[in-house]
Amino acid sequence: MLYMVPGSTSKQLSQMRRGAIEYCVLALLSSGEQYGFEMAKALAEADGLVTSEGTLYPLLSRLREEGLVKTTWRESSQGPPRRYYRLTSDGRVALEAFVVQWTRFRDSVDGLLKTGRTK
Amino acid sequence: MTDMDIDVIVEDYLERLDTALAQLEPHRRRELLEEVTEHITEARAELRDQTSSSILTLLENLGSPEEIAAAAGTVSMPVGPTSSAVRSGSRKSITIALLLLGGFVFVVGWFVGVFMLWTSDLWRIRDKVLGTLLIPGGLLFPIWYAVGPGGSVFGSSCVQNIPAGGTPAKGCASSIPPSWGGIGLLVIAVIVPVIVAIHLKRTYQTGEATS
Repeated sequence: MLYMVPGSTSKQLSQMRRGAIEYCVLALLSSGEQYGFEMAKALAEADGLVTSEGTLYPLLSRLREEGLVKTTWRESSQGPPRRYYRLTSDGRVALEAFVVQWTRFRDSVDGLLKTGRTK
Repeated sequence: MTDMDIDVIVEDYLERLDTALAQLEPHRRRELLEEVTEHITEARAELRDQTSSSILTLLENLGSPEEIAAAAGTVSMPVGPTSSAVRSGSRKSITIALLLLGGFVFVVGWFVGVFMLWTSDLWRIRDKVLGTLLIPGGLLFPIWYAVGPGGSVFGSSCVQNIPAGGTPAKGCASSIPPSWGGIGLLVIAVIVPVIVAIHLKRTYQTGEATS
């Protein structure tokens, strides 16, 4: 795609990121429930995924509306009770489906990018 | 730097967030505010020194209220930031309003509406044709026809049909039946542009969901 200018490339990358990030949030919860601050830190530590921690919360809100995530309150050892997030069974199914599709997609793209480079 | 100053910085941030989230449904707005407030509380508990600069860094990592609101607004729209969606939303309304009522703004308003219709990518060609042809001038002509000076349904036709020697009142009454056709046309001329306007509004919305 020779006609592409850097501006549209970065726009496409941000769209791809936006699409994948929901599933990263679901994946964070796959090993058990977590509270928001913990998840925000984990997301922010992943390179190039989110620019700011706070955007996690609108994402969680959407996942909750979609029935993929739900919230529970837990007493914490110090301070007030914490809001914990966990996967619903729908959330788990959605994540598993994404992992399969994503792996195929990633392998195909990687493969094509590699052959492009060696030529 | 006292705790109070820091509280003011945090409160100010949360207030800005609350304002930025104004367009969300109330329960989502409240939830998001609560979650961000909890996040700040947790993050503050981890700070080694509670200085204003460390709080500002904390809030910077969290992102600006506008950034968070934009992420919340893009929820149902995978493409483009909220602000552009809002812009095209108001552009849509303005275009439709001008097509309907722009004729009253020295007639030029309607042409501006047509221009906006054709330069927008919110509608398909056939919707643009529909919006232009049904009916040029929008509600200008039917309303001008009904109340204006030029050959009104209720005015001159009545006077013209007064038979010689008859009383004006009787003549007027007898002239009403022929004007029923005029009233029918008038009703159609009002309803058609309104239906087209509703159609344009709906078409845009379904386009938004699929884009």
